[in-house]
Amino acid sequence: MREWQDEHIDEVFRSVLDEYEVIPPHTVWDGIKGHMAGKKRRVLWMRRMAAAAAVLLMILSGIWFLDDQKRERVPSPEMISESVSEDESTPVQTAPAMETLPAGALPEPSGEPETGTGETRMSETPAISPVLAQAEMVAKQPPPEESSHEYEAVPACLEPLLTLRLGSDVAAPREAVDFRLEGNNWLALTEKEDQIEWEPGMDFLKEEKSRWGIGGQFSPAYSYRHLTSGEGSEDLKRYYNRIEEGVFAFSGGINVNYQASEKWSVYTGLYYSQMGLVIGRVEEYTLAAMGWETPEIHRKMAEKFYLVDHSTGTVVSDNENIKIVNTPEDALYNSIIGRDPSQYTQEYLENVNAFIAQNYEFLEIPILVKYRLIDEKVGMNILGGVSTNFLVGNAASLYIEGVNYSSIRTSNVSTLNYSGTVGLGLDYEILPGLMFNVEPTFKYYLNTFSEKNLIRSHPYSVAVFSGVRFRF
Amino acid sequence: MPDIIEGCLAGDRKAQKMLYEMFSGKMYAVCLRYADDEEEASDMLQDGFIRVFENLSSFRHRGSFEGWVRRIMINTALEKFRRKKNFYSLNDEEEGKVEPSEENTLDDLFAKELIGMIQELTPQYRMVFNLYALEGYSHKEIAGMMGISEGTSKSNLARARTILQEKLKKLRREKR
Repeated sequence: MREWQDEHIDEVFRSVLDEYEVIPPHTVWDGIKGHMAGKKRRVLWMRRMAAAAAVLLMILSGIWFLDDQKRERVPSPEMISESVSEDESTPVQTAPAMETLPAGALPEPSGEPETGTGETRMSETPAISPVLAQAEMVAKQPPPEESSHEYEAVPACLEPLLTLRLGSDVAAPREAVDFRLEGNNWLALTEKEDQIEWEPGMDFLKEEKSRWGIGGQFSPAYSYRHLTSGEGSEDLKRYYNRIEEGVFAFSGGINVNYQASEKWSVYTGLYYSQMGLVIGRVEEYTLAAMGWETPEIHRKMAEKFYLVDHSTGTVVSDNENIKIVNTPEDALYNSIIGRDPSQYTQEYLENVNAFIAQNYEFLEIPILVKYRLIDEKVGMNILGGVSTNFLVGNAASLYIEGVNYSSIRTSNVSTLNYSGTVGLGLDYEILPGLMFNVEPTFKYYLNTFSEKNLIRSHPYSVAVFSGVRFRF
Repeated sequence: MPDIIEGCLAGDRKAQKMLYEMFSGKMYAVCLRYADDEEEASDMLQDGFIRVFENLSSFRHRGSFEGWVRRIMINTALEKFRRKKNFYSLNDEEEGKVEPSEENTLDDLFAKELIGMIQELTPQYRMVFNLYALEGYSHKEIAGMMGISEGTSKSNLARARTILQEKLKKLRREKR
């Protein structure tokens, strides 16, 4: 015996039940009638209330109008005294006006029931055997194409309004009908675009679709910088790339999101992020090593200087035990030596086993837009946006032969930075309304980190955020 | 038809009764497919028609009026489903079937048998099968309407079809 196949079984049910009718119990109409009568009574009551309110409004308007006229016609005591003083013989003209508004002139307030048989009727339906035979014939036919049920992509220009397409019409049950969410209301869009009807009973959809969410995320992040030559040479860029390397840090924060449509959502929030780099080449020199023994140099002979030069800014030391110069032509160097910088040679420098770890901390306010690519139990989004980053921390540590010297920082660093972010998001609904998400992202600073540097440095970070989002 | 609608809008009870009689049979059959039993179908029909009358002014005479009424019935069924969703057990495959109370013809019997089969499905299987197979909605649309994923909609449909296939085979064996 042939098995009933998927869509064929649908057709069996459809062919029999499409035009099927059953007379409902009479209690249904009684219930409707009772409800409508109650509503009518409520409407009558409301009409009476509205009429009473209108009358009251008219009365109050009349009082206000007459009172206003009275105020216009009655002169103030100052006006009366002035007119009397100007001409004692001239009768005061205000008296008649007062007489035109006696107190009494103010308006007074004026206040078939048919019963169902419970029988069923079927029009033009064949007897059971032909029906079963017809069902069998249907079962042998090839399955109908499902393309008529397929969801059609919404043009981007209609976003964020259009979210769902539903389809059914009795005359043509499989013809498409669109629904769109406008503000808080669902509107039904019939076959033509201009046929927008409010469809009663759609309230439950808006109740279920909460648009706001709040969440938190955390990520380990790898951060470094991208160099462009700017005014500096390619050689300098290569040098920096050789002596510097990225660092692992972390980032995290809270966010609020708004679901603008089925596909699009907007995120903002407050994030804390770290970025930085390690400068691996630190050179040490002493004045004694240079062989100049002038009296002023002699004073400084015991001191060591560290030559540190890196791509994101100028290193300065607030630690009195550490003397740092950034370039061989450094002003400090010149002031001590008092000689032409061209006489400086590398032989007086010693490359020591030292490095500097520079760390920057930011508070970030992102504005991200997400587009939902896959709307399944495990969903997928692409995201992009921009962030404003406020520099809130700038600290470096100099490690010399395993000893850590702090109170060092990089100066001339922009305190306000803008970055762009792109990423991919995966989410999974672990509980109703509670989503777990993982988002690999790439963030790139749009402005150069230090405008004064010869080399333009754009920090970037690669992070894999994970966190939760709760829809409320 | 426009006169009846106008009459209903004016609050004319006769017009309301006429409109109800025109569509109640077909809509009750629709409600029976979505409901657990006749009592729930009656409630669904009553609520649906009250919505029809209360929102008649929003019908713009452009599409099929019957289609509009039908969608209201389906929306009403969906709302009831969502309200009761948490109380349903997804594992209960067999629901209490409502036996046909009166059977005039063999045709009626077959249609009622089919409705009975649908009613025996779990509420979620039943809803998915109705919306997909009989109303023509896509899985994506059903997912949006029911608050489930597309994958769940597909698996529910497959399961519903399997159950219905078994029931149909059984019915055929009994009739031969």
